Amino acid sequence: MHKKRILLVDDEATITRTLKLYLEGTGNYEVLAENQGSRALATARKFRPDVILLDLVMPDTDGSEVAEQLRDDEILCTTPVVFLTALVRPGEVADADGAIGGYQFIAKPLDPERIVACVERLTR
Amino acid sequence: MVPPRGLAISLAAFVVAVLGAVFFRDTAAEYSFLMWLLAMMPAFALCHYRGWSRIKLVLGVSMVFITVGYVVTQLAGWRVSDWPAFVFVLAAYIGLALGWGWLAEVRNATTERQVAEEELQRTHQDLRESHANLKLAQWKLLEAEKLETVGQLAAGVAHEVKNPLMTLLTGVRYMQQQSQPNNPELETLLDDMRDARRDHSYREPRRGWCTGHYSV
Repeated sequence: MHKKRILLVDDEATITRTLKLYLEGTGNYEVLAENQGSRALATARKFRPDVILLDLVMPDTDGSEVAEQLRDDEILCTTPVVFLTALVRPGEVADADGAIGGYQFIAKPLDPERIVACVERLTR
Repeated sequence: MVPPRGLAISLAAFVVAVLGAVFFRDTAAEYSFLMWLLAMMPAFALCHYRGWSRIKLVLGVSMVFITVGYVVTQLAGWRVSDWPAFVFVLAAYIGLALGWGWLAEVRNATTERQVAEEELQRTHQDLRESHANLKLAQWKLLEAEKLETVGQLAAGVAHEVKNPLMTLLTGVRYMQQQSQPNNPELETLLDDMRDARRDHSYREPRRGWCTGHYSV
């Protein structure tokens, strides 16, 4: 069975670095980190991920803009996108059943175990 | 509105009739019938212009009676010696009728002005109230704006705290993942570090601060 591919897009290098270590440490995933929102689309086209974890607040290109670019892409439009953001509260995400405006949301900080569970659910 | 020229003609005819009746008593006896009509016709026209329909009706009926009376007295060969006095009374009557009409008009105008003044007062009061309400709304908006700024600040601070927390939490989980099972102290330490987040070492901003719950 091939490893699932996860693309991490977050301007915080410490987050992508630790999350990449953890997710790859499970032995089930191949993870690529991208720290610039403006390069996310090109990276995703090359990497062809199964899931994209996307930060919302980034200095160059906003996460919502990246999501729009991905949605307009012929191949990547079917790839599940999960917003990884500190803007919403865990309670708000739970109230909305994990999805706001059609997108999956994960409120930082969240136990990476639950991120794994979310990825598994989306790639089943 | 009656044209000013019509009004002047009417008044002039009225004065001529009265003067004729007073100063030419004897000669007027024969022709006073014409003076009556002369006095009444402009008055009739005036009433018609002004829309005083009841006075106009009275004047019209009087004119018809006078004409019929004159014709009847002429045909019967009667001489009425009191024509001048009669004309004088009639002229006074016409003057009264016109005065009454004007009085009514003036009274109407006064009432209309009073109504307009009351309306103006009410409008003024309404405007004052609206102004006060607007002032209050403006003040509330300013307050809401201040609160929103505080809320945004709190959200920004929370955002800055959450990102490092995410890194720490993920790091702890990675260390747990990679640690050897023969080191129980390290396991306990990592569990404590992981659970430290759940002690609510930071507080969420109070709900409603930046979500528009403050009503205006």
